[in-house]
Amino acid sequence: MARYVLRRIILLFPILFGVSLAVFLVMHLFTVDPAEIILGQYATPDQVAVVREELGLNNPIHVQFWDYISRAAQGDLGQSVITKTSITEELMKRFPATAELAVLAICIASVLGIGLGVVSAVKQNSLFDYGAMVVALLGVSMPIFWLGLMMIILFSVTLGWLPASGRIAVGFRPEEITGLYLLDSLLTGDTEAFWNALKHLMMPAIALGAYSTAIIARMTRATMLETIRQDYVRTARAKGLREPVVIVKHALRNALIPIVTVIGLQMGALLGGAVLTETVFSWPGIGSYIVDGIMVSDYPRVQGAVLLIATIFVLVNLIVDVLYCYLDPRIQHN
Amino acid sequence: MTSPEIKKPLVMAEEEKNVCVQSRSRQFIKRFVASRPAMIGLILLAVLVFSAVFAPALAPFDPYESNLPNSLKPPSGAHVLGTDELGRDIMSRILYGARISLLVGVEAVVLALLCGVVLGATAGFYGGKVDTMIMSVMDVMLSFPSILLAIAFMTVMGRGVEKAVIAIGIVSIPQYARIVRGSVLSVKENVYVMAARAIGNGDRRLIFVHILPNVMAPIIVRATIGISVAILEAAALGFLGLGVAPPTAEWGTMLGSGRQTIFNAPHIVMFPGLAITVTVMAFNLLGDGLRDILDPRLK
Repeated sequence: MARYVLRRIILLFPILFGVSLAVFLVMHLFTVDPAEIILGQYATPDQVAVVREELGLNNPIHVQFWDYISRAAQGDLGQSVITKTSITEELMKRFPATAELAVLAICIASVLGIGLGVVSAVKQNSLFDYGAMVVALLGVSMPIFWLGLMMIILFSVTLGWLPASGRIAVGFRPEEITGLYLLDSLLTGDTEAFWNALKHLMMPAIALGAYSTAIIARMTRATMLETIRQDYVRTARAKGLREPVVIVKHALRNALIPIVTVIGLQMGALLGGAVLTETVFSWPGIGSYIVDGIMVSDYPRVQGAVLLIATIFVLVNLIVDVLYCYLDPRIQHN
Repeated sequence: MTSPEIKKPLVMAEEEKNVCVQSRSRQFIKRFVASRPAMIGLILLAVLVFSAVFAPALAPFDPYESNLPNSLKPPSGAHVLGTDELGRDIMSRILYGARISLLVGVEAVVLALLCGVVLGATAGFYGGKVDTMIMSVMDVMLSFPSILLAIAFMTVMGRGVEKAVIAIGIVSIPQYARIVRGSVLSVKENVYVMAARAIGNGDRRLIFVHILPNVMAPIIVRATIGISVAILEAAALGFLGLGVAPPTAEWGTMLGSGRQTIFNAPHIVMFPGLAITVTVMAFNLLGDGLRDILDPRLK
């Protein structure tokens, strides 16, 4: 196990190198000249040449890549060409917003998905089962940004229950400890800030988690249907255990391995979905930072943020693989 | 042994083969018709294709004709689904939009499938360094959430239908390459492949004639569901303002441009989103049905 984990960690480096190379090449080979973006369309060729020299754009591409990757390894992702601010600092500021959104989304998706899947499997071919599977089918078929817009129309415009955008109302911001507003407000005992932050977070988290809920529900149902037919479940029933105990402690526990894997993979997928959800709800996270960067052709910003998300994605996948190995010792990783 | 004696069993084998193929396809059709998800998916899809093909005849108005005094009108007798911010008929734009969504979905998957099959089959068949090289590139591509990679491609390539097809196609290649590689690895040591090699078949013939047809089931299932993912991604790109350029009627772009007016005209975003959901659902249902029929192990 320890050797497997070590090998996977060592393998991370070539993957991360490949990821940085891919992002760098895509952004450098095809994008418009950053010097022209900085100076605007009326810049003279001389001015463009000076800025190109300053930015190191006249160096050969491999030198530029080496510069970029050595700075990135030290945590420096460069400067935004528009605002001139440090991209790393901006990403650090926005990261808690995306993390809070993604974590709540995956929590909602896991609880709802496993719940729906288990009940559907136990009551197979019942009205509940059909209903739950139709909902799951809708979940995998609906664009999450459209679901977000529909929720805004219903809960913000029509009913006025929840705010349509932003992370917290002005004046409610809790004292910053972790940057996660829900956690910070709990740690500082600021209940008003907690409820306000939760109200802002509910719709984006549900919209972002809808697709994952559906995937987890389908997977849980399929796995549970197999598990509840196993001999050990029949034995558990035969020895007189109550049905909820049989289902939760005997069947669900054994069905959990593939479910946990799916949850882990969904956690990674949520990072992609965050780009869309954050745009719909004007959520100040990394996703909206990318989209805003695209709108103003600020390519170092897009490059840095994409690199960060890909790195988190790779790390999450590694954790899932290791967890998978830990949960199921029968799996040999030689 | 005389020659007629040799010929006879050969002729019979050919007949048996035909009967076998016929009964297999008949069995497939029988199972398909009996599968509720597959049939619902197929019917929905037939309706969508019909609307896309006959959009000019079915659309009540010109989808590109602006009529500013008539903008943001809610659904009414004249405009069944209302009008958008430029006064264009939403129903007509949705009908025309079906062409773009179906086209992008299918073309992107065909592109990904062609590249993925060639790369996956080459990696699985030859193994060794070729395999390591191809699959390393695929692993790097899989290290990105696919929509993010598509966004990056569109950012640098610019907007357009063909560009959206290329971006979505490229980011989907690794999924197909992986499936094909795995399937090829699992069948390439089979006796029939060795027999085909022993009678002098070249590598290309072995891969395309003897191996690939035997690993098609999971690929077809994945491709069908892949179309729904491609349609969702195309809509997402359109929504972010990176997909098909206006004024082309595309569902995602319609949602993106209608977003500014949801507070006073929610119908603008309601119907294009519904159209995307129904289309994606049709492919998902068809994919689920095909999976149950073709590859019950994947259920």
